[in-house]
Amino acid sequence: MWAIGGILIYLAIKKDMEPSLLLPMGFGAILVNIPMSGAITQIIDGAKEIGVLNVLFDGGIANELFPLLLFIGIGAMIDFEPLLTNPKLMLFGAAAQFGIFATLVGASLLGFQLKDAASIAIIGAADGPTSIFVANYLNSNFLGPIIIAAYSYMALVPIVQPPIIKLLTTKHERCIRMEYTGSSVSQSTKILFPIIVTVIAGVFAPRSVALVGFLMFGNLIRECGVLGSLSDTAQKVLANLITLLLGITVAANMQAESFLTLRTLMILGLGLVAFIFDTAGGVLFGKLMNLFTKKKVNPMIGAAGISAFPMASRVVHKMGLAEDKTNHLLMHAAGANVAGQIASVIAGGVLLSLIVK
Amino acid sequence: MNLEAVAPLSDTMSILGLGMLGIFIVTAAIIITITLLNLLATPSKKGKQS
Repeated sequence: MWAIGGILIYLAIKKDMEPSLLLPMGFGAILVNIPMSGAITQIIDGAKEIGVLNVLFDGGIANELFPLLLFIGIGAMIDFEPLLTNPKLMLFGAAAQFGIFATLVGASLLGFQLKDAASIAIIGAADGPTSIFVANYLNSNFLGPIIIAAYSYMALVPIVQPPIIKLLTTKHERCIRMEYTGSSVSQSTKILFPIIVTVIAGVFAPRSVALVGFLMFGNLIRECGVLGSLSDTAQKVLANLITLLLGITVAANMQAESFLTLRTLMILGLGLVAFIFDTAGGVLFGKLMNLFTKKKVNPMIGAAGISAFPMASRVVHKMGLAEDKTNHLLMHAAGANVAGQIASVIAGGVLLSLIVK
Repeated sequence: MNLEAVAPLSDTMSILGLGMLGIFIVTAAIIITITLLNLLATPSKKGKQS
């Protein structure tokens, strides 16, 4: 586990892969695997000595507090304007959640219990806090590997997505231009949007309401126009503080005896499957839309419907420029990408609603 | 559903179908809402001219 911790630290520093999370997790993996480590709860001479990481885990992850607080920060960071100017982009966010449910089928076929299969599947949400929330809600036995897979593949989006997109699209499709009207959205729309989305998600998928609600609360702080300093605090201080604690606290679940198993490798493989099917779901939905609409969409936009923000939209933008240097897809991809952020949270709630009865 | 057991293929396939359907229903509701909000917030051309 020390080697795995070292690899995570190396990837964070040298490869710049989600350093804010992988570095604390890597260090934590070393910390908890030191024999008789005082950082985690141990039974010594029959007496239970409580470790600080277990205290943090019980206080921040076991009760889903950290991922929800992180969502306030994420909500405050997101500008939904590209989505509000072109609401049909929301459909791509929905389609790109296909990987979650496809992976659930795959994980069940590989013999994982339903609670673990669903927790593994949610890696496809491409959204760390949602993965932590759902896996923890279901009391999964594999929280550590699931979180590592979720954050690693988010960082690997620029490597994972392009081959899938190229495989599923023709050069002609990748060159499709999309008009961007750039029409402005009123302040009242921006303020009402997070409130209404919370109510809609709450009515249709009540289990998603905590996730959606905290995400949208953060966005409301951003858009209301009177809480500038709170918005800044949520975006920077709160998000950084929670990310810092989240990374090292997750390591409490990375003890060698539970982590170094064949199942961990299977989870990493299934996480990749989830991202592949997410990307395919979004791209194929774009192609399907083109069969029925006059104004053609560039199907690559569908790949940005996964939640990994802003990596997925950058990938699509760069691929568009690689085919045609004058074809700028960034605003459309960003719209699909923020739609994916909402849809992934809703997918988490829908999944919980379907299996927890 | 029994969370501690391995779900049969028929169950997971129905979760797949219902899950995607559920996401698209919520999505449709959000799209309609955004469209209505945009319509309500945009002053009509007639109003602008007058």
